[in-house]
Amino acid sequence: MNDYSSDYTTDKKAKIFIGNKNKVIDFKPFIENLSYEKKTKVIEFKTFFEAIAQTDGVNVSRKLTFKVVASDYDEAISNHKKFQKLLRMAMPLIDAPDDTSATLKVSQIYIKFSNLISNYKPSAANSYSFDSLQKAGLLCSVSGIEYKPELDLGFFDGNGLIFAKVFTISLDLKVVAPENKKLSRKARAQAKADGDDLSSFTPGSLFGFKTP
Amino acid sequence: MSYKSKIPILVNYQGAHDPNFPSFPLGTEYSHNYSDNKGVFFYIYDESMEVAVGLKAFITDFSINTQFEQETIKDPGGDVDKVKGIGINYKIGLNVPAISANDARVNATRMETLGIMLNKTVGLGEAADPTVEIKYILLSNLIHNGKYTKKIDVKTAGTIKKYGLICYLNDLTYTVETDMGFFEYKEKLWPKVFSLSLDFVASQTYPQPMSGGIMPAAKNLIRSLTDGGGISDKEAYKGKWPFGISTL
Repeated sequence: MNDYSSDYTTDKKAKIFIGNKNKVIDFKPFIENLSYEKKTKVIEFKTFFEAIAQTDGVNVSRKLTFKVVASDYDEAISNHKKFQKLLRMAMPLIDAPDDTSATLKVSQIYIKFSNLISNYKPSAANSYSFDSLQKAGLLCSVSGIEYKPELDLGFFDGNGLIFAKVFTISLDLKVVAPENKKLSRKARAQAKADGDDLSSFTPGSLFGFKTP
Repeated sequence: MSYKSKIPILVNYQGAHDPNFPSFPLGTEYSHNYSDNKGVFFYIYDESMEVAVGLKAFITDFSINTQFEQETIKDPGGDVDKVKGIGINYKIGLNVPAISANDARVNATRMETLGIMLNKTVGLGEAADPTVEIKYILLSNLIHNGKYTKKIDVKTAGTIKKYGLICYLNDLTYTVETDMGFFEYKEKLWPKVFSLSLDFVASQTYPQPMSGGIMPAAKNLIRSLTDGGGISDKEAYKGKWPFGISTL
């Protein structure tokens, strides 16, 4: 069903696109929460002379919470179908299904939301194929998904099934291979001396505002 | 046949006429008829106790939370992220109102029964068995095992077993809504309304849905709930869990 929110979202190219396993789903951006987290574990390594702080890396994650709204029964079914697809996109992959010693491989999804979540290329479009989303979307593994219906708004019902008119999806995402723009002072001096282009190391690709 | 299986009072009893048990009418009440028409009762069945509890779905809270516990395997060819465990947690809150003193008495016993379901199983003169037992929980197409695709008339525990989500109860809390007051009957107080909250986790020991060897637990869960999905791109989108509609 088309309503004003569809027109607005199309106009702003602001749909949330999620893709994996050759499928892409999209949601309108009724955003409740979006946060960017970076966590590192610092270990103090003591030598005779000094204590050196070391880390084995930085974990980069995103938390995205948004509402999914239906204006009629059919849209509610469509929304719940999308959630079912999302769950399957996030389900781990079973290596070698017939092998009893097979393990569960983390499933990775591509997610794109305007200039706020992207593969450091903050352009926007109104539709993505799975191939194009692989280029534009941010590659993440899913560590948690929550579905929560808005009970006060009630359910659509039909054919003996009920579907929430509005529900909230919360996604916990771990960024795979996050970009690192932190060049050491020595390397920067060397690159400048060599006349190398350092523009890829300047901030601005995360949200799309390049600094000089 | 036991008394409970003859008259599953903890499921069907309410202060309303029940066509299944015409000799048990004690008034009329619309919410029961409405719930029955829509098929939206919350059922929980304990196989060991051979008892099911059924409640009208005055839902105050509901969520499905899926967690993928990851671990990184260090490898010279590059670290590999693996899924160590999957947790599918359901949380539900329900109001359990009573329209009569009799209804309130049955509701109190329903709450007690749910509490007993959480206990360890004891044998006569034996130590309690620490094994946690599975439960079957069904609430229309909101809580089921992926097979509830149209309204199902639940009359026996077998139906709950057929369509219910196999799970373990984690937490149970029921609170007396004191503001609503009490029925007084034979020097006893019977709360008019309980608020109930339940946390439960989908069992990873689902019966193997596919032929082949014994697969580690998490795989069974994925396969059961996604109708064999999670294996390849082509098959990944099979299944009707969690809302009973085809994903394809």
